[in-house]
Amino acid sequence: MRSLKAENIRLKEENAKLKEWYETALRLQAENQSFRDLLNVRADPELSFVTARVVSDPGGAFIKSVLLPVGAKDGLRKGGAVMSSEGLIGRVTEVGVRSSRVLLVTDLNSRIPVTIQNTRTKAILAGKNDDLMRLEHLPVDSGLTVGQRIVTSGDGGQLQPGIPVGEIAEISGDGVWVRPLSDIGGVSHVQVISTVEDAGLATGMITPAAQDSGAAALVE
Amino acid sequence: MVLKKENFQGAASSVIGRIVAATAALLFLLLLGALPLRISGLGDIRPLFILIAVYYWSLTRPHMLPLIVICLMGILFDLLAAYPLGITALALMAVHWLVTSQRKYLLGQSFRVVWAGMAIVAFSVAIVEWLLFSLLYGDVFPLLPVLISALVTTALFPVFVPLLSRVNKLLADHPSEG
Repeated sequence: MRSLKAENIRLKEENAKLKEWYETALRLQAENQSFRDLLNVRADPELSFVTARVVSDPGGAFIKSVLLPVGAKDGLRKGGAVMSSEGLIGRVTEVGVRSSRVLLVTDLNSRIPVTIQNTRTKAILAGKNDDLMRLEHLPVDSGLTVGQRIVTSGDGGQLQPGIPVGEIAEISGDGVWVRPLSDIGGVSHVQVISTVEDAGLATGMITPAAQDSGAAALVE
Repeated sequence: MVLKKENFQGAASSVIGRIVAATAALLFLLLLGALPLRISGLGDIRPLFILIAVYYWSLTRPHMLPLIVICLMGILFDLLAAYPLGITALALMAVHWLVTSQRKYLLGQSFRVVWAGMAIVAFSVAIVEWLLFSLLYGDVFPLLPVLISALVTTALFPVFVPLLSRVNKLLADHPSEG
């Protein structure tokens, strides 16, 4: 009975804190929207998703890749981000008509441009064919701590920014090591993100060129 | 004349039938090895089932496995696993050559010796693959999962032998070679 009471108090406190966070999130969202309106920020490209089952992962210790039974016919493109429910697990490296190969983030050949979420420090996340990945090309004195979240930076234009990838697990003499958020070996279903090529056209947004011609038409 | 022709056709179809059956079994084991295990923390360990079949048939019925079939199976595995093309094909053909060259010695031995031969083959393939991948990619790959995979392949040999010998018996309407 006593433990129930204590649990109830703890949950109420947690609920109050979450409400505060919710209010903060709403305020930030509104503020963000107003800044976007002021700056005339172009909207992020429209995203579409394809969910697929992992049908094969035969690489073992040498190659970290999985095969998916979806391909170009389902709208997949090379370089598309592949996610589990927790975060990024890899990206599409080969696309067939009805199948595709995903190179996992832990593979030795995987290089993902990332940002450390709260410091906005940019780095490259390199797979090492092991459970942990290594952060490379970090600036000196980046002020990193264990537990910080790593998200994609979107640099290079291949992956969308802000996709969670992992969190810092270890900072040692031989580098900063990141643990993926997803249990990569146990993933059975994945979501492949594909981008609509021109978000402006897709959403009917007016591009500067269209604005000029529109203005010319109005003048005429 | 007609009878002779029928006999010839029967023998030819039997040989083709054996090769087709062995190829189908190899293909099944290859795909079985490529299935996702989805066991957390065990992602790197992949027993090479196809190696068991190549070792077994190279020992008991080498003519059921033409080199071209072994080569094609290896290439198919390389394509599925995104390995450098030909690496598994070469490994499997080397195993076939090694086992057929030692066949006369191994056939007269007890099951334990044959099993030890499987262990030598599995560990040799694992270490050669590990060396080749490390050289090709210019980085040292973790060795432990490779060795554990070879150990699991060896441990599964007695499980697969009754199944493979059953396939042998089903096809044994002609005396075995050698």
